[in-house]
Amino acid sequence: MPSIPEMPGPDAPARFERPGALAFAIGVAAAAFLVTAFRATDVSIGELLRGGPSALRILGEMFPPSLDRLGPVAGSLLQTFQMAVAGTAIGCALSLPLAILATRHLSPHPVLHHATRVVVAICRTVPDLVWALLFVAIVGLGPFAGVLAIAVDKIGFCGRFFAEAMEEADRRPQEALRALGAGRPAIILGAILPAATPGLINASLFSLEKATRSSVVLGLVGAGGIGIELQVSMDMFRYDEAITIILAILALVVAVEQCSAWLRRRAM
Amino acid sequence: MEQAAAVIEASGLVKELGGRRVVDDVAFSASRGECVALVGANGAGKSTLLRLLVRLVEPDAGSIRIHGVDAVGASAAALRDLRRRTGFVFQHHDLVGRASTLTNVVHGALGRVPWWRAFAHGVAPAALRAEAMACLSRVGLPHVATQRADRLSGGQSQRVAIARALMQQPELLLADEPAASLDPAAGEEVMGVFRALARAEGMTVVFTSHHVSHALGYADRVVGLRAGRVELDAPTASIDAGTVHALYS
Ligand SMILES: Nc1ncnc2c1ncn2[C@@H]1O[C@H](COP(=O)(O)OP(=O)(O)O)[C@@H](O)[C@H]1O
Ligand SMILES: [Mg+2]
Repeated sequence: MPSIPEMPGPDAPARFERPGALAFAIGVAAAAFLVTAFRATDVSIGELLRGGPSALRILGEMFPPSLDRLGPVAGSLLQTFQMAVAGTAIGCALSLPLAILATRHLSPHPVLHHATRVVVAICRTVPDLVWALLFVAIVGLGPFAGVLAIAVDKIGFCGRFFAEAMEEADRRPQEALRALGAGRPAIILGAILPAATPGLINASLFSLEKATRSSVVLGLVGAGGIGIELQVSMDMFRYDEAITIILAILALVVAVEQCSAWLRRRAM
Repeated sequence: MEQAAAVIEASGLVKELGGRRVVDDVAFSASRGECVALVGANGAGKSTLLRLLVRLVEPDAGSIRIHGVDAVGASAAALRDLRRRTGFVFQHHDLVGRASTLTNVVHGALGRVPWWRAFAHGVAPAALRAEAMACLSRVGLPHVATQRADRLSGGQSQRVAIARALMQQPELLLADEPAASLDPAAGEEVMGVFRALARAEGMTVVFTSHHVSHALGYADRVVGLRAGRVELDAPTASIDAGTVHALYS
């Protein structure tokens, strides 16, 4: 090693950057709000510990799980999954044209592009439980309301991710088709959809997983599915039935996730 | 060359990009069955000129006639038809990667048949599929029809791009550095396809290249650009490598 003459190097920077006045004020305000948040919501370790015995009691009553209502439970579990499938199918089908309108370089007009983005964003930001309440009011109690709620929620999700997949599609083949005189539909079907297929499948499968989970909850507001069974069992303190339902839901969700992971690997 | 036989004819072409005249008062023409090489140093304006010809880049000034039709004043529909009749092969891989080779070739018909008949080979009428297979044969690749395009080698995918251009039934084929991203052997192969198309089928071919050997070996005429201006326009037979090399100094 050649020796390097020792020279005093420049000073190292300060270990911590001193925050500006504004950042400091924001930090203090955020910390203060966090404190009020804990207070206002009665966050208390003691309360949680006092709940311990009843947790143990409920847990004890859960076992052994009751198989008394296995038939009806299986039936509503199937209905829950059917709601998820139907809602996802409708949602994805509607998302595709919306996503095309929401993709900047495919949209026929900038106004349409922005308007579609707003619609999709509204579908996404309003929680699915709120959609379910709305649709129960519109089409009445039952699984159809749940299907509609899922469909709208999926438009919010897929509309955005489909558009992203299409925006990311390789531009060179699109340019090549434009250069040979192809029109917009030809470019979308011939070049963009094939390139975006993995993204579309990925988003659709992810939607189905999400829909399966949320369709469980939709039953709580009367939009069909297994949620109502769970609520009845809990209300009647039949924790042994409740655990059966919870395990059934868990099995369904895991099964759907496994299947979709497998399909996803195949589609890439 | 006689004016009457010109397949493409441009004059006074100007294009300013980034405050600089990238194409500066260029006149260019090519006649039927002619194979023209456009040469010049990097940044000389070759790609821009080629794109100007089919208005993939809009000219600031000048006139362009393709197949006798005014391309500058053309309506959107007329321009689409001109593009349909003009094949364009780019330097870089621009096939639809996840589609089959045959689908990519069938795409060449999208300018002349409705989209629902040509967005994939599966929906194309039998006659169109047969025509696409014939185009693949013309570039020597009928055996890769069912292969996904992103599995092709560089030389193969460039030849498939040519087959797609042939599917347009073009009278004019423009190619921007078609061999630049290929290894030398594949490059020679691709250039050979162009020459064969011009010689045997009477197609007009204009290609850009920074390989002097490609220009001299495959073109009938060499047009040299320097800083956006035409510095050389002569039959290949009348010039030597030194003349072309001088363009690069
Ligand atoms: N979009 C653009 N904006 C600004 N300058 C550009 C643009 N496209 C090309 N140029 C410039 O124009 C000149 C000619 O480019 P190009 O036609 O690609 O040359 P060549 O193909 O001969 O290498 C280059 O100096 C390039 O930097
Ligand atoms: Mg170039």
